[in-house]
This record gives sequence, C-alpha cells and structure tokens, in this order.
Amino acid sequence: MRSQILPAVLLAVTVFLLVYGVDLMNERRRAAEQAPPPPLPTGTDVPQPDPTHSLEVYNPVTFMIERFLVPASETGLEEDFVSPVWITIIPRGRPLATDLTPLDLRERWWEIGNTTTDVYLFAPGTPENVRLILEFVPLVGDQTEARIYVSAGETGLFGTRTVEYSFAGHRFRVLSNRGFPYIRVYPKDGWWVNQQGQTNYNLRVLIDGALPPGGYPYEKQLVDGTVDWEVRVGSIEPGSPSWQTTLIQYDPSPTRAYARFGASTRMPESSPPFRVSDPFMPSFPYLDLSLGSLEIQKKSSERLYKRLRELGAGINLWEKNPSPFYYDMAWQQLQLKGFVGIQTAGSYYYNSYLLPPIISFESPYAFYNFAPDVRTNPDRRQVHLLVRAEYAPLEDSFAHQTHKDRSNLRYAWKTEEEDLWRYNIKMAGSYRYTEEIQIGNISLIGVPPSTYPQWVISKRWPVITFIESVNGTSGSEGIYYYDAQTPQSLPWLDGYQDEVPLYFEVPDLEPGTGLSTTSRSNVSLVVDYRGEYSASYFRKPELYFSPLDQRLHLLHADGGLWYVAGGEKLGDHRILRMHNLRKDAYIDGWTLEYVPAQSPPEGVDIEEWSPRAWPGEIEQALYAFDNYLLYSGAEGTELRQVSDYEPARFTITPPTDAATWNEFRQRLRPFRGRESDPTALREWMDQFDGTTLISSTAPLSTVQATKTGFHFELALPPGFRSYGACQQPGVEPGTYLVFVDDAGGCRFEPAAIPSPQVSVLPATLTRLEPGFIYVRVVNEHSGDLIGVRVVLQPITPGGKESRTLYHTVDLQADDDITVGFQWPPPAIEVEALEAGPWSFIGRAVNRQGLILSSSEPVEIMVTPIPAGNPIDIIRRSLALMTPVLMVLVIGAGTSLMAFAFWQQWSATGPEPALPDAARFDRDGDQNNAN
Amino acid sequence: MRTEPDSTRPQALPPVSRNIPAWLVLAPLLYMLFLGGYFVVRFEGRWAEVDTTLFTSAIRNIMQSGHLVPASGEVYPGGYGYQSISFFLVRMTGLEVRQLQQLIYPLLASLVVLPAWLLYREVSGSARGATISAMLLFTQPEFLFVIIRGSHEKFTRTYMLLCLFLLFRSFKLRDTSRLFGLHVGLFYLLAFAFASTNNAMAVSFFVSIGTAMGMRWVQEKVWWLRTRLARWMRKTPPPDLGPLFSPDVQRLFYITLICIGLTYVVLLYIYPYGLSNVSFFTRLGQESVSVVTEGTTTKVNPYSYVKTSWTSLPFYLLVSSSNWILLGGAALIWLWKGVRWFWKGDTLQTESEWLPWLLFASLGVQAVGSVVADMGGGVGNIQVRLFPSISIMSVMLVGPALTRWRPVRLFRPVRLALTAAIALMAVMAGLKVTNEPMLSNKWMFYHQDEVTALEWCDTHLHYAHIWTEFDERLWVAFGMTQGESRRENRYLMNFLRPERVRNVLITDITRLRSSRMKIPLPLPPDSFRVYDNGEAQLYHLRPRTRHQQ
Repeated sequence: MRSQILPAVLLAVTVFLLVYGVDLMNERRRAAEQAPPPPLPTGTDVPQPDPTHSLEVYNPVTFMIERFLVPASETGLEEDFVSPVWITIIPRGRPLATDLTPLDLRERWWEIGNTTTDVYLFAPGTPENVRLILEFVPLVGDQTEARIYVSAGETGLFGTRTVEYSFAGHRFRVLSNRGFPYIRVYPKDGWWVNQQGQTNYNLRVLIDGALPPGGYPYEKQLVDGTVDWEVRVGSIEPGSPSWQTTLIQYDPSPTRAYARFGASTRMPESSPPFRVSDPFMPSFPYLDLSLGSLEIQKKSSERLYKRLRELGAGINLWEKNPSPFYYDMAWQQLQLKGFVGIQTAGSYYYNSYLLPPIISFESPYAFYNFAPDVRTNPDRRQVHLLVRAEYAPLEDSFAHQTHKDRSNLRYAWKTEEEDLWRYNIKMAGSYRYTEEIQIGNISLIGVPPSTYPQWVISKRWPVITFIESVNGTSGSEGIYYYDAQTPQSLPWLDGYQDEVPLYFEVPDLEPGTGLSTTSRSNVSLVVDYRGEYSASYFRKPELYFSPLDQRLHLLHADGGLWYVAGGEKLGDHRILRMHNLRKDAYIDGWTLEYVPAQSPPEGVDIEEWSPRAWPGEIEQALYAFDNYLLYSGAEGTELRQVSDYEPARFTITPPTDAATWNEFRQRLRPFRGRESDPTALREWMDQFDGTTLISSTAPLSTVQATKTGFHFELALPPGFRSYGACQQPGVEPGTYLVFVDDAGGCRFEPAAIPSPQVSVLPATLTRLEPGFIYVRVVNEHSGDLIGVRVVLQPITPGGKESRTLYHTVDLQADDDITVGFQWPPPAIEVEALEAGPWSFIGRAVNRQGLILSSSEPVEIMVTPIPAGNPIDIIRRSLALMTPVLMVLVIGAGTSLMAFAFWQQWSATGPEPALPDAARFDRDGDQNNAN
Repeated sequence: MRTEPDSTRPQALPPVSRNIPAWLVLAPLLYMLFLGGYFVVRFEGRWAEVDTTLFTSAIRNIMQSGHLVPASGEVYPGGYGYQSISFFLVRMTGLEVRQLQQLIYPLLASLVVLPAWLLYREVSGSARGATISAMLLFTQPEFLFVIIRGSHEKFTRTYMLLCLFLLFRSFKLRDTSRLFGLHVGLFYLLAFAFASTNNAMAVSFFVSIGTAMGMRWVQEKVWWLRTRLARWMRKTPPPDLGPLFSPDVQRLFYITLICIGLTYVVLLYIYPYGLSNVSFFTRLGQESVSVVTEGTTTKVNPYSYVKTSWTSLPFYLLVSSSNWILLGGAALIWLWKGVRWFWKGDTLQTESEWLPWLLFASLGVQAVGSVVADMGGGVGNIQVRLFPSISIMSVMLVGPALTRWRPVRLFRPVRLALTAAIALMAVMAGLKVTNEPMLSNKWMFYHQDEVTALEWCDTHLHYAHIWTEFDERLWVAFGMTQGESRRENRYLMNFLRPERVRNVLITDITRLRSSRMKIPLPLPPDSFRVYDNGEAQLYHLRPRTRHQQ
C-alpha cells in the first residue's frame, strides 16, 4: 500500500513544484537578464535624525482652506468653483497654542506649526483624502530634513492614492510604502527661509522611487528605502536658484533608453530675474497644491479659466515658475517642476540617457532672450531663440544605429511677435562636443551656453532644412516639422543610400494647425508652413531674401515646398513648389500645383497616414533667370526682360546673439506685411517693370536651365506676340522651343518629336562576374527629353527575351551620354544567366511609353566562368598530397568496418543472449555463456 | 510485477564461432579514429561551422573573463559543461582553443564509441551485438556530424549513452544493493552533468524517460486487460491485477522526477543564465498549439534548405540513406514487436526488450511534435536536432535484431550485401560528415589567404559592414581564427548585397561557389579594389554621393 501512496504523493509534490518552479524560473529569468547596475558617481549617505529632539505627538488641528474660490456669479456656472484643501498640523515635541482662531488657521496656518519637528497632512477635497504628508525631522548638527510622503496608485503615478498613517502611542508613523518617505529635502545650513524672506536654494534632495510623477519608464524604481535619484540645487545669491542637477542612483534597467541625468542652469546674460509662484506654504516655499494646466477648467468655462489664472492657479511659464514640488489637484499627481525653471528665457539644460561626463539625447537645450533689459525685467520670460541638440555620441548604445557621433539640431527663432516662432533651421551632422562644462556639482562635456548658437552656425552641416511658419507657431519648443535627421534620412546621411530621401522633395502633408497630430511630423509640413532643404549642404547655414516673394530662403537650397492653404475639395491640396533649376545658390522657379486627394494604401491605418506632395497639376509657374522673368498661368504666358532683378536682396545668417537678432529683425522689418501672395505669381512678376518679349495665351511646358541660359516649350497660337530680341519674322503659329541665352539672344525652333540615336556599345562579359553594358544616347534634336527611359533588352542565346533593364535620364538638346547597365543585373533569374552569345537592343522610350528610337541588336559573347568542376574544387579545398591521404584514410576505415562486420555477422549461429536474471561474480562481471 | 515467461523464446543456440578476433570489437573505435582523422585532413584542419565557432567564442570568453557567465560576449545559454571541460583541456595542454576544436576534438569523438558499445552490449546481451550495433550507430551521418564538430554533443551524447547503460544495467542489479546503489548514483551524477552541459537536450531525454514511464504503465494495464479477456474467453481465472504502479513504472517515475529536479537546480541556482532557454520550450509549445488549433503554418519550408544545400536531391538521399534505412528498420521492428506483444500475446520480457521499445516510441512522439513545431516556423529545424537521439534509440532496436537474424537461405549473399552496405554507409558517412564540397553546396573549409584578408579588413576598417559570402562560411572562419571584431566591423552574409554594405570581399572560393550555385557575385563592376592578396580581394563601392567615402 505504501508503495502505491508514495508515488501519488510524490506526483502531487512534483506538480506543485512545477507550478511554483515556473514562477520562480520566470522571476529568476527576469533577474538573470538584467546585468548588475553600473557603479554610479555620487554617494547616497543619508543624514541621521537627532534623537535628542522629542517627536511626541500633541494635539493635531485640522482645518480647511479654500485654495481657489470663484463664485458662480463670476463664471456663469451653476455652482461656485471651490478647491478645498484640508490641512492637519500635527505638532510634535510641544503643543500648539490654544487660542487659535479660524482666521489664524486660514490666513497664517504655516506659522502655527514649525518646520523643524511638525507634520502636515494635505487632503484635497475631503479630510480623509490625505494625498501628501510633509514631515519635518530634526537632524544631528542643527540640520533639518523635510520628508514628503505620497503614495502611488496602480498606474505608478505618485499622489493618486491616499497615504496611510497612524498616531499609535503618541508617535506619528506613515504606514504607506512601509514608512519610507518618497522625497527627502536637506537645506544647506539648516534653514528654509531666511529672515529677509529669501528662500534657501542650496538643497540636496533624495528621491526614493521614480522621478515624479512616477510610472513609465521608471516603474521599477520603488519606494523601498533605497535612494533612486539625487537632486542638487545651488544658488549664488539667496532667493534665486542658479543650477540644478538630477542624477540616477539606482538604474534598474541599464539597457533601457531613458533619462539618467539632468542638469540645468540659468544663463546670466539671458535670464530675467527669478520669479516663482507665490508659495502655498511660505515656511516651506517649495511646495504647491494647485490645479495644473487648467485644461479641465478651460473646457468647463473660459471665464472660470481666466479668473483662476488671475488668482494664480495653474501654471503659466510666461509669468512665473511653478513651485518645484507641485501637487496637481486636477490630475492628482505630484510633479517635480524643477527649481531653476524650464523652457523659459535663460534656461539651459541637459537631459541625458548617459551619465556624465559624456552626455546624450536632449543635450543641450538652450533658450535665449535678447531684450536689452532681460536681466532686470522679470517679465522678460519669452524666448527669442532656442537651440536644441539631439546628440548621440559614439558611446551612446541607446541611439539608433550609431557608428559615429550624431548631432541633430533644431534652431528656431522669433522676430516681432514674442509668442510665435517664425523660422527654424534643422541641421544634421556628426560633430562631437569637446569642451568641459561645469554645472553645479557635475562636470560634463558639452557646449557652453554663451557660445552655443555660434557653435551651431559656424559648422558646415551635411544636411539642412529651413522652415518658415508663415503665420507663426505658438509653443515653447519651436517647430517640429521637416527634420534633417529622421529614420528615413539616416541611411542617406551615413552613406548607405544613393538616393536623396524622398520626403525632402515630397513631404507628407499633414492636416492641423501647427502642432503635430501624427508620429510622422518629422517628414511632414502642415498648412502655412514653407520648407526648403539641401541634402548635401556641407556649408554654414545662410539665408537670403528674395525680392520676388519677399521672403527668406535657404542659400544653396536644392528645392522646397510651401503647403498653401486652400484646395477646392476636401482632402485636395495646393502647394507651391520651389525649384533650383540652375543648381546654384538661389531658387529660380516656383510652381503652384494642385494635388488631388489621396487615399491610404490598403492595410495602413488612416490615423498614421498622410497624403504626400506628389507633383500635381501646375496652375501657375514663375521662373527667374538673371534678367528674365517667365510667367505662365491660366491667362497665358509672358516672357519679360527686366533690368533691376537680383535673386537676393541681401544675405544674412541666422541670429546668434542680441546684436545679430536685432539686425535680423531690422533687415526684415521693412518687408513685413508685404510678403507676396503664394497664389498670385503674376503679381510677383509685376513688381518688376520691363520689356515683354513674348506674350502667348497658351501655357508653357518643360522649362529647363542650361549653362548659357534657359529654354522652354511653348505653344504659339494665332495672335501671339513677340518683341525685341525674340521678334522672329516668319514664325508661324505652332509649338516651339524657345531658347534664351544670357547674352540676350532669343531663338525659336519648331518642336518636333525627338528621335535620339541609341546604340549598344561592344563589351566583354563573363557569366556571373560583374560587368557593364553601355548604351549610348545622342540627342541630336534641339528639344529636351525629360524623363526618357533608356531601355536595354537582353536576348538569351536561345533567342528568348529576358527581363528588360532601364534607367531614366533627362536629355537636353545636343546631349551625348552613355548609360551603364550592371551585368549580371540584380535579381535576375539565375537560370537565365547562361553563357553564350547574347543579343542586346537599346531603346529610348518617352514618358508616355512611346518608343522614340531603337538600336540594332548587338551580339555580346558571355563567356562561361571556368570553375565549379570537381577537380577545381578538390584543388581549392586541399593540398596536393592530401587526396592520397584521404583515400588511404577513408579506405582503411571503410575496409576495417566491412571486415569487422563480415566477421561479426558470422555463419555459425547467433551468440546466445544473456539470461534475464544475471548472475554476477564478486567483481560484478556478467556471466556470459560465450 | 514480474512479466510472464515468453513461450516463444528461442531454445538454446549453438555456440558462437571462436574464430572471431577479439580486437575486432574495437573496429568501430578504430573506424572513428580514421573518420576523425579524415575530417581533419580533408580540409587540412581549416574548417569551421556555426556551432563550433559559437562554442569557440564562448570558451574564449570564459577564459578571458574568468567567469562562467561573462558580462559581455558570447555566452551559451544551454549550459556550461562543454566550455568548462574545454577550458580545462586548453589549460592542461597549452593548446589554443581553435586547435582543440579543429584538430583534437574530431579525434576525441572516437571515445564516444566506448559508452555506446557498453550500452548496446547491455541491450543485445553480447559483445558481437554491441559491435554490430556500434557499427550501425557510427555510420549515421547526422549523429557523426554533431559529435565530431566542436560542440557539446560529443559530451552530451556520451552522457546519454552512459545514462542509458547504467539504467539498463541497474534494472538487472535490483537484487544487489551495493552495485545497484552505485549504478543509480552514477546515473544521477551523469544526469546532472548532462543538464549542466545542455539543459534542453537533457530535458528532452528526461521527458522521453517520463513518457516511457507513462507508456509502460499503459502497456502493463493493456496487457492485463488483454490477458483477462483471453482468459475470460477460455473461462480460466483472471490474472492478478497487481499493484497500481509496478516497480518498473515506479523506478522510471523516480528517475524522471529526480532528473527534472536536478535540471531545476542547475537552472535556478547554478546556471540561471540557462533560463533564457526556457523560452525555447515555451515557443515550441506555442508554435505547436497554433499549428494544431489554428492551422497556422509558416510559408517558409523549414526543410527547403535540403534542396539548396546539395548539388542534387539524389546525392543528398544517397549520402543520408543510412539515416533513413536505420529509421525505417527501427520503425518496422517496433511495429513488429508491438504486434507480437499485443496481438499474439508475447510479452516483452526483460527491460532490454521493453525499455528500448518504449524509448523509441517516446522519442517518436517528440519527433512528431517537432515536425508540427517546425511547421509553425518559429523555432527552427528541431527534428534535425532530435535525430541523433532517435538514431541511438533506433540502433537499440535494429542492432540486436540484426545480430540475431540468420536467414536460412541465401545467407552468403545476404552477408555479402550487408557487408557492402556497411562499407557504403561508412563511405557515405565520411562524405556527408565533411559536407563534401563536390556534392554539397554548404562548404565548411576556408583558406589561409581568406583569413588574411579578413584580418586586413578588421585592422583597416572601422564600423564597416563587409559582405563576405553567400552564407556564413567566412564569417565563422573569422570567428574561429580571430574571435570578435576588434573594430566593431560586421561581417555579413547573404545572397544579395544588403544596402548598408559598401565593402565586398570576393575570394576564389567565393567565385567557385557563385558558379556552383549559379548566383551572381553581388559586386557593382565599377567598385574600387582596395586589397588583393591573390586569393582574396576586397572591393569598396564607388561613392556616388557626398556622404559616401
């Protein structure tokens, strides 16, 4: 019986262990997958409480204050808006005064308790809803510590759950998170506010848990008694913080890309006087309980929103910095807002994935104000120039496909409207930081704030885009669109791609009003945004002002596009495309195009798709070549010779400091409000008087710039007029190519169907070996051939047509070019690559598919590759004498096996099998009947 | 429960001829030495393949870091035993890791013959049966390849063979406590070593024992039912049901339990890095379930490599014919024994009869599962990984049967034919195990000049992507001879040239392969030739943009 029960019991135990073991294995696997955290630079020694101070709890007092009260009469709502906060002061070590009045409690409650031993409970809404506890603890050496307790909910966000506590035995204890405080604050010299009312901004802050508000990506940092972050704040003068550093102490996910280090400072030359929100608790001025961005209230009532703003509720960076420990009662979260401020004038910070001294990611990010009184006027908080680097040095393992340093810059500035970004330059390259910067207690390698803009503008950037927000863009971070460095452009930047990324010339057209609505903003433009690019720039950024459209352009741009508002049908788009036909420093062509509506491809989520600025139907066109302006539109075509046209009224570099910024604005100011209408190109031309050389009611087509001038194809209907140098007696109505040269010459040639000469050149080819077959194309015709396909038709030795190959080329008049086709062609069927006499026919095919001309078949012998036979393989795979050895070895082994088998499998009968119960002798050998 | 005597057992047999030289029992060992020597000599010691290179890197990594699980570099998740033993050998002998892997281990693989011979002697009951069975096993190319190359299987297969030997023997020693205890202890020691060297293979083995346990229980109960039915029809008293779990079943149960426990200990406490292999089983299960329940299969045929890896399918079938013959023969014998046992009422008397039968069946279950999982496409060709285990079990069925088989008529022609078959299998094994370049498209050899070219690349290029071959041939050669790139270069392989690759290494052997496989060289004809040592050339693509160099 026992023998039956035991296996069953063991089976049950096994099943249990299996289930438990799987859990354990999973946990260990997760632990095993994480490497130990790297050593981190600063110590986390925590000062000890002073045991001589009594922390015995006396009579707590609870009262309510109306944090923000707005009567219904002021808002039009049905009820008053009230955000009550219940405060409990727990005196320790001595009782509170007994003669406190409600007014005392409402008006000066912070003076009733102290900031040495007392505890404060904050409960928004109802007294039970304690969300934040502030405890003061005296330390050894007359120091003091402020402890902030908050509790995280299921989302991991701190402040979303009540904090549990108890008064058992006249001792106050926090029960949540096993009593560990979330944040500890240590003031240097032990005071929070001095007698002059100035706040002490020399602080050390230890955070046990994720950075506020918590949650992703720091969800593994728990409130467990281990310091996870250390924040240091420093100031040069009391009441005004100068710098702040934030450094991770415990890194639970060393391979995850998240910020591990932050450093910020206030740039002396560009910072207004420090201003922070009025403290909620003046004796501890770093804390606030307020309403956040007020977006909830704004949705409820605009009047309420405005009134709350007037009361100082909410956050308005352009007025004041929010308090650093900011409890948002609307979202019920504790947030760390930063001591020195963020993204306002004078801000300069690093937000790095890597630990110093080598930094990465958003490093640095600088905000400049160039007003002359910025250092004395506290209202000067707006930013005039921002410079943001997305930096990934070689050491940055979190960066995408890094094998070199990457620097990707956003350089945005405003002009006249202080709240609207106007221009933006994006630059991508590979410049490494080299200078040592000291921010507070941390030394890192970066770019000094005072020379940062100059550093950027002085570099020759390989890829660049220039964006103008025609109506200005609000926000604190400049313009997001039309980036120079994107996942689509990285292969081009790294030299792995031969073609310019398509989005430069054909960006996405996003709906919206300036803020991105999809994840593709970096390859998009929105309405009223104008972008220009150069994919191989390698110059210092420079702009010029065009007298035609009265706008700034990027010098040496390859082209650009303006997403013009409008369109007749929903989803249709109108764009103004800019061309640089002569490949020089200036835009010389503008085409207003109508792009029809598009649909997302099958299977693509429409939320993540945008239509693209494909070439559309040209409604108007304007070209400017030296002294000639050429316009075409619905009303016809005009070629005008002008005398006072210069492609650039002036050139200018982006501003880098107050002086250049003011100069920049000064240069542009006369032209404000006089910018040309992008849908009225005729008016652009009419700014310049001149002589009409050609006037036709028909539109032109195929404008081409040449080395000596330009030409275009134009239909001349009856009644056309030509004047001056273009007056050609005897020119009948018809379609002509009009040639205009720089010397002023003008001639007409009838446009005929071009017929280029095509021939296949002799070649020597070996099967499977790389080679070239050349096709020569000569355009003897005076007309251009744009988008011609040069086709190569291979015919196998068996007479079968193989897959055709083609290249698309643009042929100008009199061009004589040779197009090379790689042999063997990529991806051709291997069975088709036989050796023997192949024939090749060359053809020229126009865009409509019409064969313009064809060559005679040329026979080219493809010789077989003399390899692959067994002797060659043997010769390659081993030395001369080895075959002999091989034969001997394998022969010997095989013979041995054969002989052994022959003998073993003998004819005299099978060997008797061993009996079931073996008998063993003393040595354990098996008795064998053999 | 004791099994009934088999009334169909043959009577006492005439004695064996005493003319058989004793040294012939060493024939398989000597053959393996020849084969190992051939393996080395065929390519003059310059051969490499993926697993061998990975283990070479893992061994070097342990040697350099001094840790079983180094913080960076190659770490083998399956276990640490092979690396540890190799580390020991390298330190004792002063050899390089590469020399051990390429030159010594192929010869050392011959030692696997010894535990195999012992096992098959237990199963067949005779030295002759052991020799014949060993000959069968060591002419199986799939088995030979994995023990000859530089991977863990020369040890793990040894552990498996020894475990089986001790298991079989311990069944016979139940009445002798001291010896029984010794065998059991040794068995678990080897099981521990097995789990430490490759946890996945060990678990497969332990699961097969567990499955055999279950099958044995079913087998016993079915036999009892059958016997009861027969007796009921004869109106004789029914047989004694016996205990719920017979001693055989209990024994196998304990073995499975303890072995799984040993694996837990290894994974949880000794080598937690191996826990990442657990995901292998999870995926295996998921893939299998999705194939069965949803019918989702991969569009990629996991066995399509057979067609491209050999010059022709008939060649492949010829060189691997011994695999199929053995497997087919084992399946037939298994069926025949099953019919005898169930239909005719013969019992599988000794553990030498029923245990191989059950182990073969349990591995068959795993094989079916692996085919299903392969159809899911996510894990890989698991069936190929199981084949050596299946070979071992198949020989346990075929070897004794072949030894006992004596055709009354046509004995001499049959003997001649079988001898010729063995000889042919031996030759084919030699061809397949080396992926003979004349027959195979999967070449394992490299030239010193190619390695020199790779060294030059690694010295002069930085963060570069370099196309080396249509497959991993040169990449593993580099790994074997140089280890990891010292300048963050990546050596890539593909039929086409990936876009990021701007450096292309072409060697004379690459050209041969291009011609053999009829694949063009992925080299733009206007590329710059920046290095040429006569045998190998490095080309750099011509820059076409300002961002290219």
